[in-house]
Amino acid sequence: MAAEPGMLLIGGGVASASAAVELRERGYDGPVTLLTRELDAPYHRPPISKGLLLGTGEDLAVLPEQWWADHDVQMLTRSAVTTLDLAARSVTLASKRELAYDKALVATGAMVRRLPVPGAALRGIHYLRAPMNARSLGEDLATPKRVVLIGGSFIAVEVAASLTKMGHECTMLMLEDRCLDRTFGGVVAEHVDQLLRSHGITMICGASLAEFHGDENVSAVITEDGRSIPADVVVIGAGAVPDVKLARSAGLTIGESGGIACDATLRTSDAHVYSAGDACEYDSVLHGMPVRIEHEQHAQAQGVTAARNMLGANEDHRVVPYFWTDIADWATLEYVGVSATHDEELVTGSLEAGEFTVWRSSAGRLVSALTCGRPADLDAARTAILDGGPIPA
Amino acid sequence: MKTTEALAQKWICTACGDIYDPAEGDPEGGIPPNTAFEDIPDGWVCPVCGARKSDYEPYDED
Repeated sequence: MAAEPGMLLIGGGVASASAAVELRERGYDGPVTLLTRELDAPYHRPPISKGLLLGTGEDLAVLPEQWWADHDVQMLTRSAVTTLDLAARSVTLASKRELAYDKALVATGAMVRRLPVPGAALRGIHYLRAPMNARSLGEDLATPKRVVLIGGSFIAVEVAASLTKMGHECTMLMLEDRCLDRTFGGVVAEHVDQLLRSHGITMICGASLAEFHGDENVSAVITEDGRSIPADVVVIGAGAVPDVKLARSAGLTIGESGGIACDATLRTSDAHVYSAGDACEYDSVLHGMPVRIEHEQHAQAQGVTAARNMLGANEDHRVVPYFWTDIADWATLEYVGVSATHDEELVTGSLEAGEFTVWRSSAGRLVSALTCGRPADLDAARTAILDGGPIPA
Repeated sequence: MKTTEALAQKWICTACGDIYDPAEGDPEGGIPPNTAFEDIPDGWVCPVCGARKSDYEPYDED
């Protein structure tokens, strides 16, 4: 009888890495193979828009180099999977190599949202996703530059803050009326807007990108309403889209958010295939609806749940999403929450002092909390959310 | 010119490992199937990480 084909982890992010760790910690001793198209072993992505730009030289690896061999996990870099055959339970790599599996995890992550406007070929225009993107941006920033950030999400905010701290002159251009309007909104967006302005960042809100001007290098960003913003360097932080190319071509069901549709246990429409991380849209018990979450800590937690269920545990994924953002060393925001909608908001602490928590509830139940400088509030919030309780007094 | 070799040659993104396969093209990025890498406009970027076209190199299987 042939040996069991084992567990296959497709994708090189934290979701796959944490699944590998969990499989071994649970005592699974069959073959485990992790396939990543990337050049490096699984690495932490958040520092790419934070410390890596500031040159703090963080080691990005999720696991020590020796971990893979020590735990008999085959980790293959530059190994893009081109075909997933659900009926045969096998995959084909770009190298034409084939691998069979008992259970597979599809954790293919997300891709940058591209902005194909005229002038996009000019030098000096950057996206940020992989470490090399940050290094390439770093090369353009050897001397002080005028930098335009496209987007109002936390990535654009983090990069604007980091680059301002490094001495560059930053302008943020966004569709929203204020940065972070789509993620946090309200008093938090107002607070961050003021914080960024107070550090000299120019905010151009409610404006959309039309094109880039320049000869060889970008020299200006042009808005739809005809404004011209001088720029030596542009960083596009316009969000991400789930990478479901492999899942879709395999015939797995894709959900409304564009992610791989999973049940509460992170199982896809195929009984032998699970998903986790940015590409996973799961029927969340805590949210009471299907959600797709793009935060590193949640990807890590989902990798753990998926691994347990690949071993037959049949557990719902019940982890309250957590997220943090470093705005240079000016502020760190931390968030826990299970809903974007609310009917009541309470602010404790002091916005002026930069130490506050924004609590939100819906129908009397706490649904989220965002804090700046009051980490103990996060624990209270997590407990209340899991218990279905009100805003803690 | 679309030679048979150009249409068979795959390319790899040196930033993130994405593989460009001419047979598939990059429909979301406006590149129809059966487009040789050389025929992709310069403004095109990697669908995964946004690296430039010049950051790709030929990818040879095995």
